[in-house]
Amino acid sequence: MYRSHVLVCGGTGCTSSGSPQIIERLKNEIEKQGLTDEVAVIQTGCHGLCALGPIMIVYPDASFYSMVKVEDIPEIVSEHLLKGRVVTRLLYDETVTSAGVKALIDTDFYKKQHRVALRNCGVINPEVIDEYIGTGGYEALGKVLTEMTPDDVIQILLDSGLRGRGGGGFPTGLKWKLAKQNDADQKYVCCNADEGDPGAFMDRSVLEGDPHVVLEAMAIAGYAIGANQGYIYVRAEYPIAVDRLKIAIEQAREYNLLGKDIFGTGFDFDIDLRLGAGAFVCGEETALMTSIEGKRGEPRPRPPFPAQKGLFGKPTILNNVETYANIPQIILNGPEWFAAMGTEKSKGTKVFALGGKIHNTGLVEIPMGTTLREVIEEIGGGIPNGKKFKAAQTGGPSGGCIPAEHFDIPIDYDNLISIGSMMGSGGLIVMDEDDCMVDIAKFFLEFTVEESCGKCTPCRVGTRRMLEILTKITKGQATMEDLDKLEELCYYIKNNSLCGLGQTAPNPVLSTLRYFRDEYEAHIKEKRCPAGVCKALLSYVIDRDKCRGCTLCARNCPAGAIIGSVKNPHIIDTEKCVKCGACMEKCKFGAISKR
Amino acid sequence: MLVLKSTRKVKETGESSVHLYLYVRLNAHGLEENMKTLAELKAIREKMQNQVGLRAEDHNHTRVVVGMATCGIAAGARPVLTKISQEVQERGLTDKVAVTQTGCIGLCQYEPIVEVMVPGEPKVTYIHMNPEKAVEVVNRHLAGGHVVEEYTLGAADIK
Repeated sequence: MYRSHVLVCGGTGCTSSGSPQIIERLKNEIEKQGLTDEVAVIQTGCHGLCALGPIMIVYPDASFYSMVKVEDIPEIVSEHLLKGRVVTRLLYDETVTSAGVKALIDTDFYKKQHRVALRNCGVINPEVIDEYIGTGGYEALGKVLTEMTPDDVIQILLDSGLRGRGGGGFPTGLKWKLAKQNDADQKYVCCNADEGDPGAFMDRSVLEGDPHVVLEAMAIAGYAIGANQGYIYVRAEYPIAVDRLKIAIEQAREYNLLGKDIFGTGFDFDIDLRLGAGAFVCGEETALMTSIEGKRGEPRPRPPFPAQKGLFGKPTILNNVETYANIPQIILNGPEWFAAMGTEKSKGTKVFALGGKIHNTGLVEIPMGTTLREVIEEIGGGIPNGKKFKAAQTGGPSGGCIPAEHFDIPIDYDNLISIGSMMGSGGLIVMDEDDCMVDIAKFFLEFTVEESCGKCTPCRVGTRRMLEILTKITKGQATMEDLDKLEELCYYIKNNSLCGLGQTAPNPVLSTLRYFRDEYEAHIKEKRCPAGVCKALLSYVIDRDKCRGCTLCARNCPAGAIIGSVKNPHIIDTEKCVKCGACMEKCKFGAISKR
Repeated sequence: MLVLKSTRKVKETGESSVHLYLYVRLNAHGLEENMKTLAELKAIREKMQNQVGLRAEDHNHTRVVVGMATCGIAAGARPVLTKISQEVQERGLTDKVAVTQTGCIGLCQYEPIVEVMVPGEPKVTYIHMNPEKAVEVVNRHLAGGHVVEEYTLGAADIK
């Protein structure tokens, strides 16, 4: 029995900022100060505030230490853990107020959040099955196996209104129902953990922080559709998630929560891992299953849908990690509980990975219907350096931009589609006035060109042609005809590609064209990049009146492009200038500007 | 509970997890009762709930604060703190009671001091505590709801 628990985040974010060293030092120091029997050190999953890592929370007082350094550990142990004096200067500054220390759940970042899928992330040790059971884990599986029929389970999911969290938003209950209806000697349950959108890391965090919830939900799915084998397809680039899944599967087998005759009910279910090599297209369902079969990861036409002919030609369901993470809670709390959250057609919550120009980079879970303004200004803490919000990008390379005019739109599946974006898996990248929308579209196109599997021509060739036009625009070499051609290509690729990758690849271009056509036109007609990002269209100039002739810029110019003598105004030779911006950074008189 | 015991035994003897796995699999073929029943799951949950419950954040917790400044530690506050914390967890009170420490409150000659703050009720200060008295406070005050008057600062008759 420990009187105090010290939780240290072991998610990927905090691991890379040094949490393993923190844990090691903490254990040493606790031993040195004779507190080993009183204080437990627990490694957990992600708490969400990744930008403030490494993160450490001391219970029972729930003191939240952020950006912890190894040197701070002895002080925290002797002051806080022994004497009970919270080291206020090391706390997360949002929790420190003039009236004392504020509870973490009252901070702006957590106040509006509602954690369902992330319920256990950052609370339990993901490598200890008993901790998961302690929070009610595997209870839903027990209930399903002993009290419910497969049809009851499916009905609960239908009533709850749960829709796929991987991006498509297909009703989960319906997917299961279709798979159940198809009789076969063998069926499969798959989990899509091949999270590939740039900027998205929700699934990784669930797997790292609460792997058992996915195993439990997959077993429930197996019972509902009549399958006894599950596969989790997870990226090999997620080593911590893979390790914890392996541990979780082993522990669940040890407790016979996976295996033969679970809970003595005669139901058998087991799960195996399959590692993906990081191809974006393998997140597409048919490509994912082809890859599990051991073949080259390429999509195939649908129908037949996986519910009819999926993995190894057998009826299969494939759900995303976050979808599964909701299911045990729905079983235990009832469909009404879940349906009470969210909007009319999008129930429950959604996890977003906040990134880009935002104060609190990290992971948040909000009820559907929360507005973009609440997410960015309140939970996310706004945009740094007083810059102005320009757009938010959701759905990664398949999604689009939400401009400032839709800042108050409630986030749900249908609203996002109606404004030309999509929910996607939940990456949310915030852009401010310094971001060029043409450049952003080009960035995502570069990604899809790279990741196109090459099986169908519209995607393989079409996206490449689009990228060429975009490159021309950013170099100021394009004409208005090119812009028309680009738009035409977008629709052509959308309508003719084989799989989701190609069908959605033009979205970033279409949505930026829809809301920021003036920026495209400025690049083409005026040969000017309004945000000052596209290098080819920039020129640096020295203001003659402000220049004192200190020669600092000339000495720092890597290209030797600045000419001038001491105490006389300098000039930039635009022929030689490489537009690195070093001179502007160095100038103490603000005499250099870019246009 | 048979399995619980037997798997533990395997763990203690340090056999590899492969053995453990085989062991469970063997059982699956009916050599021995192996199934983790719902009752066993419940037993683990109840055991763990009190520990995981320590990590709840709740404004309605009763707070038990033990003075752990130099004066308190010198007077023997540490065993008191450990004892209270242990008792609270063993009795399954973690969902409503949080045990923490504090610094010196200025009454050094009365240490070890334990303060109990029940939401909505006046603070109760216990003085000259020891582990035995602490157990009594947990039993009668935290679990039973009755202040142990004879150990309080008020009973010591100082003003």
